[in-house]
Amino acid sequence: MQGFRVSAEQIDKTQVRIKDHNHLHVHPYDPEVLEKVRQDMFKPRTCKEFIDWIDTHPHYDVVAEASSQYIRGTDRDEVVWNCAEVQTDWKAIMDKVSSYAKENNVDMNFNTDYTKEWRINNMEEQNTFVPFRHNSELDNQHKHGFKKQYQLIEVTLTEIFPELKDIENLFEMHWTKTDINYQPTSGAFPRHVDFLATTFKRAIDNDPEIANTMYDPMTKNPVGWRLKRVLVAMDNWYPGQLFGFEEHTWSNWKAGQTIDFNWNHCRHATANSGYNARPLLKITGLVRDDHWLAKKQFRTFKI
Amino acid sequence: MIFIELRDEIVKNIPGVQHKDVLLLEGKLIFKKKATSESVKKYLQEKFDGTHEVIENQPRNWPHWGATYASELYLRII
Repeated sequence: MQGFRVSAEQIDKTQVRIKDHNHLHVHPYDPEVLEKVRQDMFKPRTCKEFIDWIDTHPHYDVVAEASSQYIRGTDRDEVVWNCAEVQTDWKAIMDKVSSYAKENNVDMNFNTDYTKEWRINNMEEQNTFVPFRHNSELDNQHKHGFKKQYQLIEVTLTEIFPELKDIENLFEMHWTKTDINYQPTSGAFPRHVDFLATTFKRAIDNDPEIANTMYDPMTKNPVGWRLKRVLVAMDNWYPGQLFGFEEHTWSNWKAGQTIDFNWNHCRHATANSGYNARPLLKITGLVRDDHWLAKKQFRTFKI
Repeated sequence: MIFIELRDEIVKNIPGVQHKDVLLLEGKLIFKKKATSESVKKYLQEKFDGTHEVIENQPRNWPHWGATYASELYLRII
């Protein structure tokens, strides 16, 4: 079967859009279709088998929706929680990030389209930048008018922000990938759940132990591991900046405040309806079950 | 709170209710039969007494769906 979701190395060669929108499922998805996909998802698979199943599934968007076990009425502390505070010179960092964004037109040119580039290091070529998306997901988002979402400014793969790499290291993850999730004003990313598939796939491609570990479809993690994504506020919250987790919200954050959240089941969405860019440091990786993040412990860091 | 676990509990504790009778849509339980919804509503009201309100709606039935639904339930923290 032809892959509908491909690696960065392959993306400009084989990515195939679903051009016929009649092929897409339509929101709100048919509950019976979701149930059928959910039952398929719960078949026993290794991590490698699971990621291959997702990679080749023509309806990633439906799989994502079916993977969510979230029930409205879930307590907020099961949805989003403070996991750390990072004390550092955020003003100096933000001065640097803001200059970088200005020099590279990050605030102006961010139509989320089907450009072949993603997470490139040289921002000069990044006039229309698309974070990696499965095509059915992106098609569905476009169909509903979500064409300007956010920008990802590369951290892990560059030497541009060494101070942010130092922060990345504080969280002691494996296969870590960090970006600045920079949402210019007017950006909106619709509600969704994640698989953290970019990090997950990288681990599977490079570590046979993880590849051959059974996948737990209930937690959406390799057995014995946790996929983690923490978000570090790089600037104080400005009114108009919205971050929703179904009926719960995160707001009024301070620079350095760091959250962990239920990315696997609770749909989340962001919008920047304010007049200041909204930068979050997005750190994603794998930790073992006994890691402090997996145990929902809180840490304070000074750097 | 996880849908599959809650559904297993519902099926185990309410006679006559099967897994296929309780589906999930965007955080809400959705039912083809009103009677099933009533039974589940009563069960949830007892289970979440004092902490959550059980809200019942008549769902919008969309033309692209393969079946019609009589009721949907969701929880609201008190």
